[in-house]
Amino acid sequence: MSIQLYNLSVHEYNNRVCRFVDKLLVDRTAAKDITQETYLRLWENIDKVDFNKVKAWLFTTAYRLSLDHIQRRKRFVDESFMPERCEREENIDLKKIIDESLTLLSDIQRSVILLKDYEGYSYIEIGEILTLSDAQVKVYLFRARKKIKEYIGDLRLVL
Amino acid sequence: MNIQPDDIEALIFDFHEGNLSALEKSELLNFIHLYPEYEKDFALWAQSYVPTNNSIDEYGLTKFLLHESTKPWYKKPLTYLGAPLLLALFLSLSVAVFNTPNKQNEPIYTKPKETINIAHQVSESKKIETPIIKISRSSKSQNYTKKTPKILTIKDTVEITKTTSASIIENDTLNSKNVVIDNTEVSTTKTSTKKRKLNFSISPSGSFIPTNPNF
Repeated sequence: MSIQLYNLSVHEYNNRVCRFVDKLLVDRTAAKDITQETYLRLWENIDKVDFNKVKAWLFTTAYRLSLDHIQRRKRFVDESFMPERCEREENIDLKKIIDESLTLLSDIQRSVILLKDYEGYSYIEIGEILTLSDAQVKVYLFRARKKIKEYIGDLRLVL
Repeated sequence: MNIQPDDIEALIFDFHEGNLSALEKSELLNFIHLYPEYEKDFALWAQSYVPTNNSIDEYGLTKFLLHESTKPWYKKPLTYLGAPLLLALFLSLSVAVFNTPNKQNEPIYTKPKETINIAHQVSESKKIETPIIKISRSSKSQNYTKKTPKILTIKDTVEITKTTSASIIENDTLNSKNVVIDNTEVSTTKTSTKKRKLNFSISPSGSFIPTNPNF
């Protein structure tokens, strides 16, 4: 991959990768760090990465770096960040409810949802990024949506 | 398609995921129409999708992640403009340097240059008479009449008087030990002293009368 294609990938995907990590970690600063680390690794492997697969490569690398970050955060951060304890704001709308419900999901379920809804990846592409089979992707996606559905349903009952 | 209540969630999920065919979709919608208790589930499944808009938030990383391509020097347009400019600058400087008058061998005048009449000095020098060289030693004198260049080594008191028909006055070199006389007009006296070794033994003469009784 040439420098021009690398710059093109920066223009095309850096915000997408950063948004994916931001939604996955719910930490904007960490998302920026991981995005920069992802592109640093892309630069180091610029000769090995094919531009046609660079988007999947970027998301895969960002996802793995995010998992590493989650593991580190679990070691050092207390449990006050658990989604069940998140305080709900008064002016709630559907987007915020969904964002809250995303924190209820496991990392893999959240990743599947983000890749499917934000990036529009197919099951096969998500499976390549997350190293899962398409059937596994479908199962994770089903469970994730079911959790979100139940969270929304419970919230409506409360309201 | 025979729809069972246990499969309804999977079917609704597939419906929203777009995994069902048109026939399956219509059958599912008919089933929900027949059993309205599933309508709520159907709506909640529809809301389980993350609402996205086409605009992507700008995280401000683009300028940090872009890599400036470094072109080789021969591909830069300024190279082709800069090289002739440098060459022209070098040529103009060299012309300016070599066109300045060379003052290296010009004499340094203590007086203003206009007050010195070089032609007058030369004409006066021509009035000097023919050279007479006298070298007087203790008991011998010798005249040097040769006009060929000679190197005189002055060992004792040497008096040189030379007058030739030379036309150019050279620098006075008589202060040194070697004097080059070559069609020059010199009239001076050189005195130098050199230690000499005496080769005789000292013995008393016959008329010497010792007065010391112990002698």
